[in-house]
Amino acid sequence: MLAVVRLGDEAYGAAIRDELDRVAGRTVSVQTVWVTLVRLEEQGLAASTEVAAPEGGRPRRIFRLTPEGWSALEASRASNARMWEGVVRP
Amino acid sequence: VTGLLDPPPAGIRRALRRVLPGPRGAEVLDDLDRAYGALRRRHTRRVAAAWYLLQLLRPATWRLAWALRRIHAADDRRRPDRIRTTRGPSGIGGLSLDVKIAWRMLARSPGLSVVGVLGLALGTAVGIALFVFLSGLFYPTLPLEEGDRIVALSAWDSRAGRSALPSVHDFVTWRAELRSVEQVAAASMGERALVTGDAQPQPVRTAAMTAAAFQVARVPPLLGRSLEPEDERPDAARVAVIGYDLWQARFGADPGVLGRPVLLDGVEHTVVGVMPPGFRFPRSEALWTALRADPTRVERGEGPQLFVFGRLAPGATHEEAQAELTVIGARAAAAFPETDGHLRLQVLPYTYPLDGIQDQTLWDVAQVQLMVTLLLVGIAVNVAVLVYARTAMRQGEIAVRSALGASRRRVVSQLFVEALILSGLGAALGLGLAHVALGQIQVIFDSLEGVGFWVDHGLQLRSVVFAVALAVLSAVIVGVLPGIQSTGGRLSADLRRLGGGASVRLGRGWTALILAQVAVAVIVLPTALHLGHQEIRMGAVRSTFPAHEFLTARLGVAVQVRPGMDGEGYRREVARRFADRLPELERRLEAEPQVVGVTFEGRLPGRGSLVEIEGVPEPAEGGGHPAVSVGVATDYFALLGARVLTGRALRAPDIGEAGVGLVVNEAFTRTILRGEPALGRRVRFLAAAPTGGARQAVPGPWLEIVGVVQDLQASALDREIAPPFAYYAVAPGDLQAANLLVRVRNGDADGFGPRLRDLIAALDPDLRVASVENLSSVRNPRYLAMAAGGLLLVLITVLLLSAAGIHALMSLTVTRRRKEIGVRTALGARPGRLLASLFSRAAWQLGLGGLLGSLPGAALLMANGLAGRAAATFLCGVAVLMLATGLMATLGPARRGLGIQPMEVLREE
Repeated sequence: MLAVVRLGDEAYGAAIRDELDRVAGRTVSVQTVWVTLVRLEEQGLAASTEVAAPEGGRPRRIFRLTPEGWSALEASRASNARMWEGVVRP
Repeated sequence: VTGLLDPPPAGIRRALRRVLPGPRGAEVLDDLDRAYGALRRRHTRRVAAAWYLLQLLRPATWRLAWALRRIHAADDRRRPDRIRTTRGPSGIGGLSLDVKIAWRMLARSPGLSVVGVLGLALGTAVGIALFVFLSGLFYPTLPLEEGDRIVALSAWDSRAGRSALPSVHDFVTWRAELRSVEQVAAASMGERALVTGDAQPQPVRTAAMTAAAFQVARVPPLLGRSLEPEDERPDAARVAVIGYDLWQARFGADPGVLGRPVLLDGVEHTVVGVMPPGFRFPRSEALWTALRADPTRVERGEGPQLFVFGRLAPGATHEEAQAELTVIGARAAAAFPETDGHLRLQVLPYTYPLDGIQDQTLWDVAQVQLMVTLLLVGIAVNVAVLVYARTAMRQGEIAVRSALGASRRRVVSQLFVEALILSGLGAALGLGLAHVALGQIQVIFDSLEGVGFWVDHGLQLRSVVFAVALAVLSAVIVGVLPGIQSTGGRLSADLRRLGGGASVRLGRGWTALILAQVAVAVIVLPTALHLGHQEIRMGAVRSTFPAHEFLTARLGVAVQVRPGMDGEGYRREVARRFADRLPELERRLEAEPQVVGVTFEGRLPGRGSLVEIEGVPEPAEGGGHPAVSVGVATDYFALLGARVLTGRALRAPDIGEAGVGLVVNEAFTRTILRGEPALGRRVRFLAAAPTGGARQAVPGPWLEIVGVVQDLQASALDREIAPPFAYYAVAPGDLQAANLLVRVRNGDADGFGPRLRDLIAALDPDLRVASVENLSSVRNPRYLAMAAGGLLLVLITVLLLSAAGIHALMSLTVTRRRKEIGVRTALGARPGRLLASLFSRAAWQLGLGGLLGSLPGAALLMANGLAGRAAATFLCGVAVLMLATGLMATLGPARRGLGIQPMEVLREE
């Protein structure tokens, strides 16, 4: 979800996969990325629209977070932060 | 895809595309292609391709496939206006789509499909079975080299109105003069007693043939030689050629059989050749001798009747041969007007004279074939009614497709493909059914003697072609006709109907069809049931005495043939041995603790199965009354426990050729004497003439009926139905072979079999025993099961088709009047009234159809020998059955009709 947010108008399948690889250092398969995206769509956390590709190729599906998606992302961040509270390395 | 060294393997890509549907799937595939490209830049094509293939197998791909299907279904639900395309832009149209849609439609209404397929299967099966049977009879294929060029030469006696087999004079003339037929040969067939070595005499089908017959058949002998022209000379040594089976059975396949003597009706012949397996020329013979065709020894038109045949000369046609033979016939008629003036000579297919077929009967074939076709057309029309009813409900769909640009041809072809699948399945099932049924018939035929060597009831290519033709014909009737009708209407009107429920109607034509169907069922079913029932009653013959307590064995005596012993001497020797051994065997058997008693039966020569009775007119077809004749021991009836109803049982003075006493069974008095008193009436047996060709019969001496016994065999279903029997008394010394009947205590007849064989062997090693069986297991129930099964199948099919037709009609009625029913329910109509108004039409149709059918149905029943109360019972039974079936078929639609919610209907407005 964070990758979708970070890419903004460029959040299509292959770009999201590259972003995960580049920033998080995690290599995931094309299918795994797409399964996640489709499930996010099904749960209403993300939505997609088709836009024409700049170089005139096949139209791309650009993903963005819905308000529910934003809420879920923020909730996740808050719970993460709460879990970190008072955690000190011995 | 740009930037790739080479594209990914196309086949894997297509498979992936199929797994990953929709626009998202296309995008996933693009991503995969890009990943493939990246890999390809660093590795070989093989590695990249392997990775690409791996993608198809990864669980993640299949998880994604599921997710994509779910989300696309959701997309479609959100956008109902969207017209779905099945698959990719190139997937629309073409036969494969038609087939796919057709399968889907058939699967959607499984009941209708099953009924349709079953109906068509039965029709096809009956059609094919009759086709195989008739084409085998009328267009036989001779399994011989160039078999289609072998013809028979025969004559039609215009004065007697029947065919006349040629005589020696005709044959000699034809052989000398005919140019367009070569190797003109003649044969005279008949059964003769064969004695080989010390074995008992055995009846064998033999043919006396001219040597040319072997050239016609073009089958070389396996051993030795076949017949040669020299063998035909009156002074030539008597020689015989034997068949393979005979060689195996009687000579143990001994290669030294050539030169061995055999006795044929007491006359010695020398074996000169063995024919290969399967050779049963000219009809079903197993042994051949030379025919001595000497016209100087018989008057013109006299002498044995011959079967004359030959091969068409190279280049000659059937017509040319006929023309030449006609000229020869005209010349003979001018020269001998007395004997030949009324004969018309014919060139016929080889098998026709043997099967008793004349050209005139070909009209009958045409009639039968027409009936078969009509039967199938009838069934196809029935199925068409069903399919039409469904097609009519799809009027809206058809209209939309037309509006979207589908041509009428396109829509009709879609319906045709649907029907073709239906009829194709039916034809395949029908072929299977026919195959099984024909296999059973072949088994029965194989067990019969004298069936022509060319008879083969297997499914040949032409049967399959015929089945395919039937399937296409059915598909045209079932698919195209309703299709044309339902696409013929005005498009706008059909489109308007889309919203407010289908307002389709079944036209008058279809109503008439259903009416006609009920009528035809009422006409045909009672007679079919009556005939089938009778057939089964006749077949289900059961013994009225405790047959399971009896063990039966066929006994013969092997007599060593001494030089100079002729046929008469041989027979006397056999009879002497029987007179000596049989009473001793009876004594020894009766001394056994398990044995209650022993008796025997056998036949006297010349006492056949036709009888002439003084004061009783001959049957119309001539040749005497058929009755089973058996010679029995005087204690026969006592041991079997058969009651003598009037008169007395057979006694010692009745025995043998000199005896005049005869006992008949109840069935004899019932069916042949028609209930008139039997005692004192004079009866004589008719023996078939020795030539076997003509149906002349030689009467034996007069006998007098001295008693009537109860039927020993009667139908299990109706004791009135039993075969007529005539019993005469015999002593062991009269017999050449006998059936021994041993009654065993406690019913363990089978257990006594080995002991019986031992006793016989111990008494005299020359006594030959064959087929030791329990008397109750002698009968073959196969035929009966087939008849019952066939009858049941026909009944179920007719009922099922009628029910399906009525069901379709009622379903349509309910759909059409949905709105009206809703409004009436809203206005408070009672369910009873609603039902009555809905189903008055069905009841009306059933009633009228039944009424229309009952009169011709009764007439048909009467024509088939059933009248009065029994006929009324059959007719009423069928009418009630049809009515019940029809009403059952309306139950479903009725429930649907009553379940219509007024609010829903009104909301639809």
